[in-house]
Amino acid sequence: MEFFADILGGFHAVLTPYNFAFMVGGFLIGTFFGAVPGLTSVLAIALLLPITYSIDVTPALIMCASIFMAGMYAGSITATTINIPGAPSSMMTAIEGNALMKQGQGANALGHAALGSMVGGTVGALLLILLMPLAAELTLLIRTPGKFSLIMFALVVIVLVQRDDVPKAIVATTLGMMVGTIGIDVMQPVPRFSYGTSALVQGIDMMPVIIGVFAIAELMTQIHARPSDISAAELKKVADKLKRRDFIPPLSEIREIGLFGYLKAACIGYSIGLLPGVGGSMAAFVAYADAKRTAKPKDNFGKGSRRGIAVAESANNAMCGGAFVPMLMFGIPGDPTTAIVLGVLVINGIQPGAKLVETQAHLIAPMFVSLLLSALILIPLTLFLLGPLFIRIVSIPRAILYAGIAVVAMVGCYVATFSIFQMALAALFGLFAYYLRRGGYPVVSLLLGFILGPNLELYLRRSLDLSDGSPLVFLSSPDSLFFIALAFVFVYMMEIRPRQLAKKSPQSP
Amino acid sequence: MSKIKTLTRQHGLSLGLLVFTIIYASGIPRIRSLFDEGSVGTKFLPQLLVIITLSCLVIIILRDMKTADGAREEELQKSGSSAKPLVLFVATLAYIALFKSAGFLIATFLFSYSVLCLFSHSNKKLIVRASIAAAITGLAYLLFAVAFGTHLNIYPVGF
Repeated sequence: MEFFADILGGFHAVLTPYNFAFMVGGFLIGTFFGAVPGLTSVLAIALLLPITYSIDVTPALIMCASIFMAGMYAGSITATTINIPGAPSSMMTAIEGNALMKQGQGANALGHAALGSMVGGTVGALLLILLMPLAAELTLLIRTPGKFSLIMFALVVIVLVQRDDVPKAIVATTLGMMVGTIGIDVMQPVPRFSYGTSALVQGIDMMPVIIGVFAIAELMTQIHARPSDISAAELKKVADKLKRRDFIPPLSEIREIGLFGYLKAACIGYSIGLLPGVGGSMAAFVAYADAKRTAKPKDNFGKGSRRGIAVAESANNAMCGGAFVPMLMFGIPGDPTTAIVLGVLVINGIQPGAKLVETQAHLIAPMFVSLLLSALILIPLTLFLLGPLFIRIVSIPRAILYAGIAVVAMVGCYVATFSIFQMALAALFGLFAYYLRRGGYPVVSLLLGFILGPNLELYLRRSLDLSDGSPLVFLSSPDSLFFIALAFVFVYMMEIRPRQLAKKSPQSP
Repeated sequence: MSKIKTLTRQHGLSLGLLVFTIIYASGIPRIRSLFDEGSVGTKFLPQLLVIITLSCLVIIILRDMKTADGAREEELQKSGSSAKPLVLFVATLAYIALFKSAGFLIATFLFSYSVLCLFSHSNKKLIVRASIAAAITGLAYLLFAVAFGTHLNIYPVGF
């Protein structure tokens, strides 16, 4: 009950002019970064991370939440209008939305995307708020061996979701874990991998890793991207075609999709958000595939399906709520954005765990409220007021954008640490992540390995310490056994079963 | 010689990661332990990580060798040349080196100017780029030093 009182307090905190400005500002930044192809909300939050050193934790978290929600939704704007998904999670929206755009119904498609995002985001945020006390209670049941198995399970999922190349995902994850082992040991006050330099004894901060992996490497990747073929004049023409009144989808179309359709997609998205390292793209894809499987011919999938847009957007925005649960309860980020939010929490001395809900709920409640208000109010409002304008932002010269991002990333890194060494580390991590990306290694796994590695080691060694070195403790503890079994189920469902099915299915000629 | 060149070009990253892992592994014997934790002590996870990484890298290299050279070459072509990203990296290092000695204003101006040049596909005049770089420098100063009150050395050392 106390938690819900804190949530009410969160509304009060968010609605103070200072915090409200951060929420709206964050939403606009998130929309901008989400809408421009090549920029993502992850990059926006990565750039924000150093700034959080200069502001209070409450506005920083409020801003993170609104950027997260906005970035997830904004990808649909350019996906629909010019068939370039602003964010990877809008891939499904691009298929259906752009088909509608070509039929002269772009505004209608954007309206459905916004409505889907609004419903999904709201449901995700409400589930997060309502289930958080329960999640905290459940967290208390998980003891040290269980925590080890849970992190192990998370790492298994992180690797398995990269279905294109599992060995590369394993390497990326272990590389991240290797970087995480640099510095003082987790149990004993001895340095590891300092190679005689005092700078490495302290270990590697999360800041240069995040700035390097998500900002510098992104810039290096974008150097090869060709500028959009669409001219500013063409974009203006597209924007002029969109009439504000058409953004509101007719009730008959909403009825056709049905409340159940929205809610089902939102629940799928929220559940996928609970899994570590999966993210919005998978949420949108699963919800879209599920809707397509049960679609009627009139749903027109692949040729401009409004249902397709609604479910994909509902799922990817609902994912935002789900992704916060493992991050806040166990320090296991659900996706790259929450990994950076975890960085904001750690920087401000807030440790994830059940106690967070008991003792520091007043700090996280405004973030939940920001997530809810961003979905419920800011998504439809932004589309209605600024929709046509956001289409034109694609025409902003990339060189100016990237020069600004490069400066903010590097100066931000200095401002946060006042260390030239940390700036150099950010540049090095950037180059490292760039080559990994080029070689098809998932860099998100690198970051998650870096974050989860130290805890994995800590819980492993603590568990063995408590059980006099007997590894059977992982099998005799019910919570640990549950996560080990869950990991096996995932391995079977995602690796073994698809191979068995592929073998059984008749060979195509 | 050309075989080595092809091998480095096509498997350079995997080989680089192999070297990185070996350098990492060379640090394991130097890890001390203040008290005995049994077999799972201070060295356990690093050793395990090295074994897993090396095994996976060998799998990746062997698998890539089986892939037709043409396909690998095509893949590399698709990802573009790494010359420009390397220039960006060097520019970033130069910026870091100049950050304190040359001061925020000069270093940031030069850095943003070089990034502008790297990303520009059009032949904008020098003065236009310089004006944009100056604007970016000014905005960054306003954001960090004025809005967030961070102390930045704006002038060169000794100025």
